[in-house]
Amino acid sequence: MNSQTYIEVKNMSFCYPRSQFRLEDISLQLNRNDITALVGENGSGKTTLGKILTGILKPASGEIQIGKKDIKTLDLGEIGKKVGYLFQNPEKQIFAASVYEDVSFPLEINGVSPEAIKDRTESILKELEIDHLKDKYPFNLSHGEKQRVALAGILVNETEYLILDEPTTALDTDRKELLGRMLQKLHSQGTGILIISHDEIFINKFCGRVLKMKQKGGITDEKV
Amino acid sequence: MKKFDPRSKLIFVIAVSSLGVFIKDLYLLSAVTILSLAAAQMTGGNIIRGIRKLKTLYAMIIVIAVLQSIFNNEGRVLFELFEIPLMTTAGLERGIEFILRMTIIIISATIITTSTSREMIQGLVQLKIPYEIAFLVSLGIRFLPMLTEEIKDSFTALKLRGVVLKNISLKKKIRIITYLFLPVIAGTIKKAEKIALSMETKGFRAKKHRTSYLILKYSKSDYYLIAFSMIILLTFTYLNNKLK
Amino acid sequence: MSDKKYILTAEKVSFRYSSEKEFIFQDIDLNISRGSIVAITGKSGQGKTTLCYLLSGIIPRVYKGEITGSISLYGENVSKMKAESISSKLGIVFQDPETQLFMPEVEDELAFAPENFCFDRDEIDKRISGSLRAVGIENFRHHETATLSGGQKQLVTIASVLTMNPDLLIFDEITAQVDKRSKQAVMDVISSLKNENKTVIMVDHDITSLELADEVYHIQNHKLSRTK
Repeated sequence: MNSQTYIEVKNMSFCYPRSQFRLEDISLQLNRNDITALVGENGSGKTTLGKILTGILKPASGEIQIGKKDIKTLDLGEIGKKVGYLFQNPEKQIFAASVYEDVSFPLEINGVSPEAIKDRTESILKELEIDHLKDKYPFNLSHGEKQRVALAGILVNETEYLILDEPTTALDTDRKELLGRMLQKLHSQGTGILIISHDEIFINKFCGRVLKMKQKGGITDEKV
Repeated sequence: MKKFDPRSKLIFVIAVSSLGVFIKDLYLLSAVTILSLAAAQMTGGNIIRGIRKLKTLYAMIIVIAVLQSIFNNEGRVLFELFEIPLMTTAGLERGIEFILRMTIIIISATIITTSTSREMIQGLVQLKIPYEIAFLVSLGIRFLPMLTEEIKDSFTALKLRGVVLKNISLKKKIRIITYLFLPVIAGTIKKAEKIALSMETKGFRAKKHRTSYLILKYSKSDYYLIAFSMIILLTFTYLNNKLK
Repeated sequence: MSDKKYILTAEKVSFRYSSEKEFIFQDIDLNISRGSIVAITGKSGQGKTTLCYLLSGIIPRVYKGEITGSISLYGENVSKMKAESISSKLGIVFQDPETQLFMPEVEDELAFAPENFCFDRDEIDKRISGSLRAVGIENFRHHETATLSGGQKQLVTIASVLTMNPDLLIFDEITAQVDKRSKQAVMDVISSLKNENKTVIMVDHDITSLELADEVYHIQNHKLSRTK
């Protein structure tokens, strides 16, 4: 077992109600020193697995640990502080009427001091090159900008692990490059990353480890 | 299992649920409840799911019974505390009455859901309702689960932003709820707009009339169901008036 | 009027949305030959979807803005045509199948358009089977659309537009949300449409099967330029 293991899945099974789809007996370890890609055909359950790892979906059996804690003992808010999850559609995780407020409000609700909120929010907006948008209404931004706002909202929590669901689908080549470099930087600062994707070029360039999901459940490590 | 025409189901549901609303007598109401349960069983409605929806309402029965017992000075006192009548026969009756009415309405709704939305639209059209309105109703019904889904998803996404709901003030809780409005409304409007665009590019409302590939025909069992609906509507109305 | 060779022509088209100051396009020219497959590429945010809206008359019919120049379909000005006369000549499919399917079963979905045009039942039946066959999903006819995968849904969407038997099809990033195998299925459909002498405009931010296209255009900085 890797000392850097952050998320551990042991013999996990999952099924949706009223559906044939199931994941069976999945075990894996996700480490903080990897940028891992999760690949597989559509319908193989990549997004489903991502949602299980963040507690959105509950497995039927098996065990999942995040930072040595059983996921069952954590509520979604607590998981969100440990693992940042970027939805495929960034609009799903944008809530406030301005970019600045959207990035900062969870900190306010959690009682972080006003100075720290200002510091953290402003530096994250600068890092993602969206500080010029901070007073804008987020729903009117372009897809790429919305995605960066959503990412800022996750990064401001300073989570130890990130799970990104298809982050490159609506990005052009330059934006992909930018995203990739930013992930590398976060990685060098000690954040573990899982990218759910079928963008081979992006994966080959930025991911050190590739997990492949098979159609009938089961996962193989393709490149370490 | 018999497959009934959506129109005859609609007639039955309207008959039974109106009985459920205006009947006063507890025995008659119970009889209507049993009838609606039997009909739901026959048409293949999901009774269990309907009852599960009513679960929280069933808890209300006690609250209503107690409130009615305290404030309504009718009936025999069954249980009292410091001379306050906590349970009277009249209060108990009101509570049971309420729950029977709700059961009838929810269970008859499950009968409607045994038809697909296409069948329902066609049923309404063949009942001479303009097709635009039939589509409007059916898309509206389709939007309800979409809306609840949207709210649930947004709440999950909000919590995942690292918002811990334990031990926070009411003011903050209210603020969180207002944050849900934006994505839910934005998402729903966007979806509605796209659906409307897609319908328009496929020629919806191109002409005054619209033909239909699906044509509904009453079968023998439909006539029985309609006749049966009329009979119970008349009988129960008569009995209800007589007992008054 | 316009050359018979071209099914769709755009002449010096400029456009900006009412809500925005900047023009998305400036002086765009485009001639689409009958029976050809045309690919239009461009980065996100360059206005690919807006171009699809313009070519299909959705702008100015549904979305408003300032347009100059003219777009004609079979020599007729698109912005003056009624929705119903466009949809029998031009079919458009968008990126997200979820908002293009609104009927419970595949068959209902495919019946929707021909019903709007008041065809009789036999004709509707013929069109449903024909479209299902063209897309290769005859076995889905009685499936509930909600149970299909994203790629399968997109095939149903294409079939539902084919029921109007349009000569020209505009596909706006229809493979952006589907996996490789479904992408191949969609590409197969496009090449079989070509064999039936249909005209296809496919718009995408990275078109992997450019070899299928007779002509390739690229949108950048408000201009459309031909690259193949």
